[in-house]
Amino acid sequence: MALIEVKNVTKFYNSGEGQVTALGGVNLTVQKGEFLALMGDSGSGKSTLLSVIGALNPPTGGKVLIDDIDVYDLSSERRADFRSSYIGFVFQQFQLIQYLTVVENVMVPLAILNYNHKEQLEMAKKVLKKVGLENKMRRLPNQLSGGEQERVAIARAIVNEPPIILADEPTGSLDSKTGEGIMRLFQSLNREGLTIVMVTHNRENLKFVKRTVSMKDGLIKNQEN
Amino acid sequence: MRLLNIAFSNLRVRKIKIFFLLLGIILGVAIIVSLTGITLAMQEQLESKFEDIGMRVLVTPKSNSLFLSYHGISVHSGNYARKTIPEKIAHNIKQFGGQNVTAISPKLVQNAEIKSKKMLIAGISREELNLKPYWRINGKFPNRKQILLGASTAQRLKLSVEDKVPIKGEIFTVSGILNETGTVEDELVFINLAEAQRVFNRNKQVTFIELSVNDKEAISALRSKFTSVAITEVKGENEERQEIVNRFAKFAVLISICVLLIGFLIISTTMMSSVKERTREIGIFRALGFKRKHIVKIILFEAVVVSTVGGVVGYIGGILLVKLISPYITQFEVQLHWSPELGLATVIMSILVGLLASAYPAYQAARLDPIEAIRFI
Ligand SMILES: Nc1ncnc2c1ncn2[C@@H]1O[C@H](COP(=O)(O)OP(=O)(O)OP(=O)(O)O)[C@@H](O)[C@H]1O
Ligand SMILES: [Mg+2]
Repeated sequence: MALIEVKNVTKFYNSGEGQVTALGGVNLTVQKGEFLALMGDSGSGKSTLLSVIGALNPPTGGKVLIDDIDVYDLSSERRADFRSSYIGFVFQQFQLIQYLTVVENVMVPLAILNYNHKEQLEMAKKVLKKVGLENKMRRLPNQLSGGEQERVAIARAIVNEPPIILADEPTGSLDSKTGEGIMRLFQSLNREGLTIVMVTHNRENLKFVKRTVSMKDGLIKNQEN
Repeated sequence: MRLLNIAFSNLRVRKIKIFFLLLGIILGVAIIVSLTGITLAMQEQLESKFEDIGMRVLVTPKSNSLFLSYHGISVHSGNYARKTIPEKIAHNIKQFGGQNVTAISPKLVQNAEIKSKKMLIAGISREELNLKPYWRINGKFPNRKQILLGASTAQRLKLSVEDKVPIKGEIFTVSGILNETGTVEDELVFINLAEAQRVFNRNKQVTFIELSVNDKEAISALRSKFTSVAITEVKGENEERQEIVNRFAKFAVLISICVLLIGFLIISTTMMSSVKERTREIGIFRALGFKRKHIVKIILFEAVVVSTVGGVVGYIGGILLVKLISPYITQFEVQLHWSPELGLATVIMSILVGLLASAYPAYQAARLDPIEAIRFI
């Protein structure tokens, strides 16, 4: 059984110049333990697909099954619960909360769960150590480099131990050396069993992934296995 | 890390905005507290000072009833001095009225010059003290060759207790000064009734009789019995003060409602702009699994924190404000105490307004589409 099943998903947006087809009937299956790269031109629908998989963006048509759960059959509040336990997001612009320290940012996903402060702190420290930031825990995001902020974002995504990581151009704003470090980190997380779907423009990154899927005009172009 | 910590941290970084919001809340709360406090203190004072005085009745010479403007004494009219009634009527009324007459005080009011100023002299007996339980005399009730001064009179004439002053060729000593009453009594000079009758040569005569009865029926009974005099029911100064207090209370309520409304709008707009500024942040929270109710909680936590602080500080400020302005409210000695009930009510009210005002912004925040908020790039 596949972990992620995207079945004939469409997504239309109504913009000023009429309807835009962001996804035109996408079928995609991702097995547990995969490390998948989504490539494609700008505007081809990669981010849209990622957000649809991430239970954040209800599609116009089609189905998304994750762990056999029909994600968009859930109510909006239940879907939030689902995101909390299944999905870890890593955004391109890091999207850290600027007024919280590094360790606090990592603890944010835990704030709505039943952990006491000590447990939260232990979990946050553990993942910060994993991403190599255990000695910068008390800093604010703007006191970190881009690569370090990306690591905080990754720590935040995995602190809750979700089975799936969705990353949208995580290396897009980093220099190639820093980007490579981040890719290695993703690779090691994947080796620990995490399923990763990553949008990337950078062909250099492909040597770290197990499978690549290309998109064009809201459709999957090839599905090389 | 709890939602409350997130709320606190966010408040900490938005210090300036929050400071101004707090200032607004504090000001509003302080205004409401001081108005409410003054009203309560006034009512309390009324109750303590005017218990069981009964209905006030004036007995005057028949033709004089029209000019009597303020419980029997018209300062600007002249002919009260000429017309008088026999003092004996007071005695008769008391006998006739019996238990129904709770206090009765005959008075002789005449003009005289003191220190070249035309003053109104009121001859009174000790019975007057029963009618005026709110009187506080610094010194003694006047005896032979003594006078008691109203508060303003004492200031105007620059006289204090033990000073001597000539009236109609005789030397009188100031035996006491009356505390400010907020009535025409502040302008008067009081003298013993018997002395007044001697000095003004009005043996056994009085200008009018003031009495209080505890039964409305008694007034009509008196009217049909004593036909040679005019008997009118007047508003005692307790009713008059009650009216002042009632009017002030209405004013206080009106202002408070306005302030509450303005406070509501200030909190509402601040919270709305805060939600707008935090659109992206809210989207991140939602992406990380926060439910709508968690977002609502964060926003409302902030509202509660701000309005609690505003309520507490505003309460303290309000009481201090009253202490500061109370010397200027002459008619009442407003003494406002630190009342835990008022404090608690204030904080609860502040929190309620804060919550209500933030309800819509919180709803807006919860409704934000997380995907719109973050816009993956
Ligand atoms: N909220 C929206 N409203 C209207 N149109 C949208 C919206 N979001 C995306 N689109 C459109 O949908 C299409 C797919 O957008 P998407 O962001 O998925 O592309 P992408 O492959 O991630 O591009 P990029 O590489 O530039 O990030 C684009 O044409 C875009 O303009
Ligand atoms: Mg994109």
